[in-house]
Amino acid sequence: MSRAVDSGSFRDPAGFVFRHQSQLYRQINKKGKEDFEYLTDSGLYGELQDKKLLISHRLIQSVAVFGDDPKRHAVIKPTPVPFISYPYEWTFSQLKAAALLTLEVQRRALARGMILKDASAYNIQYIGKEPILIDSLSFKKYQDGAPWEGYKQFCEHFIAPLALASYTSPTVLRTLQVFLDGIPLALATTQLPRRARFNRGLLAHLFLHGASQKRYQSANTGSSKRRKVSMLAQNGLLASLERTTKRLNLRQQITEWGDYYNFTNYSEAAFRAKQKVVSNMLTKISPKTKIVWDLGANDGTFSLLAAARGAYTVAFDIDPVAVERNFKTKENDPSDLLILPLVQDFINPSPALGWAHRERQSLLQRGPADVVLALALLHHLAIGNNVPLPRVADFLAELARHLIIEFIPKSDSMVQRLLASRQDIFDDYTQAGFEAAFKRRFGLINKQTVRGSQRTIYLYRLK
Amino acid sequence: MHFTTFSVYLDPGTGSIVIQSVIGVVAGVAFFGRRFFGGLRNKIRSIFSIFSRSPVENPSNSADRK
Repeated sequence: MSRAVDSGSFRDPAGFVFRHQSQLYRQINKKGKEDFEYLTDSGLYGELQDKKLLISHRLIQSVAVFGDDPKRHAVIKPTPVPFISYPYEWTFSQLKAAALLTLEVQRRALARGMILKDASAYNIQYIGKEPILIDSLSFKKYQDGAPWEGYKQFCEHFIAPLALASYTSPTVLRTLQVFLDGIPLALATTQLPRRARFNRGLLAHLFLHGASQKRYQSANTGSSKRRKVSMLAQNGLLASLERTTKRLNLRQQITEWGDYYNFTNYSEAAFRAKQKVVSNMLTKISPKTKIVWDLGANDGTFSLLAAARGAYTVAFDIDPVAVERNFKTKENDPSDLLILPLVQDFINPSPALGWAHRERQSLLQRGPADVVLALALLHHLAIGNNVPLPRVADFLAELARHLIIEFIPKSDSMVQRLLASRQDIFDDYTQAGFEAAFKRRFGLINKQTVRGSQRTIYLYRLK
Repeated sequence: MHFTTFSVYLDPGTGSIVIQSVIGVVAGVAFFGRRFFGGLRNKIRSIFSIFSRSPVENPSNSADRK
């Protein structure tokens, strides 16, 4: 038996996720049997498949290969998600879309006599720009008068962070890295401005909800177990949550984001030349590229080149506004399911988090990528953040099997801008210094200058 | 009636359950009010019609209607 239980899958006694021969499976325990079977029997599974709201799975017929387990009822094999992302890596609109998906699933579940037993943002994953619920064990039979047990979690995982981002800044979503089970309402309500109370939805779901939590925190839970919530109230709650979520938007200042590609220092012709160089290099890589990480992807212009070749491309950027813009740009072609925009700060990449450091994977643990694109990134790491070039090479060597990296010399105005307000202490930041640093870890496949600019792009293979 | 079964692995929070029943009813009436009040109005009408119907059930009146 070589079954490795996913280290983040242990809370729900109805089942868990595990790996067997590098494939992902989900075990349904006997405790989860009745609800799991009702998911299909009620027609809900089929409906959620039609609407692309729940990950599909197939039932594994012969489970003997997974070894004996007296608790086991069945094993399913869910459709794999190409890259696991976490809410603290999402931008505002991604979190909002995940919230609305959760509510839509809840509405359809209630109509078929089921209810979501939780509302964790971690149960939602992205396939490209489309969110989907991945936890097939999140459903249980609805009992007449039962409350929604996921309500608290929904407010803490979705409403509180969305409200904070809406009233302050989208960068506040990075605090979800600290508050893995959502932002406590007591905290959210102290951080929101007074005028947030005039938003009826926030008044109810955050302020009154928070006050009620406080009022009952030491109360005997016996009373809540007998508390009935009628179907009218259940539907009212859902409608109110939907309306509250839909009405939360980023403030206007965000849309005033300057277009990076209008601020570049090279001509339209040089920009096209750069695209051509990158495109050529991508075709030179074999075996066929499956996963590309575009570091410093901005709004995803170069990610599209990788996606056009069928590679699943994770487009990372530190600027949540650029990520927001990438997420909202839909090409209405297959690339929408191939480009996943995420917020990531490469000076402080996502760590391993949660119980025993194993619930949520670090960025490194989710790699390596077949190809890493690092265009116009190096000078931000080396000059903007004083990282010596050999260390940049070492880190990229852990992330990538192939690397397409751009070197921008000091004489380039973009680098000059970084040096404008500080002393130039970067004697090693030269083309020769760069090549020497990367030669230690990578073998050069190809090197091309970008016509009409001072830049050079390198294609490397990991040694 | 107890709703807590093995399949509840989250702590739903007492305060969260109490407030959702209140918010739910208020929002339910606000969102689905027409249907709700429509039903209520019919109920009230039917109650009043019981009182007003009693003379209608008078055989002489029903005969009048013929």
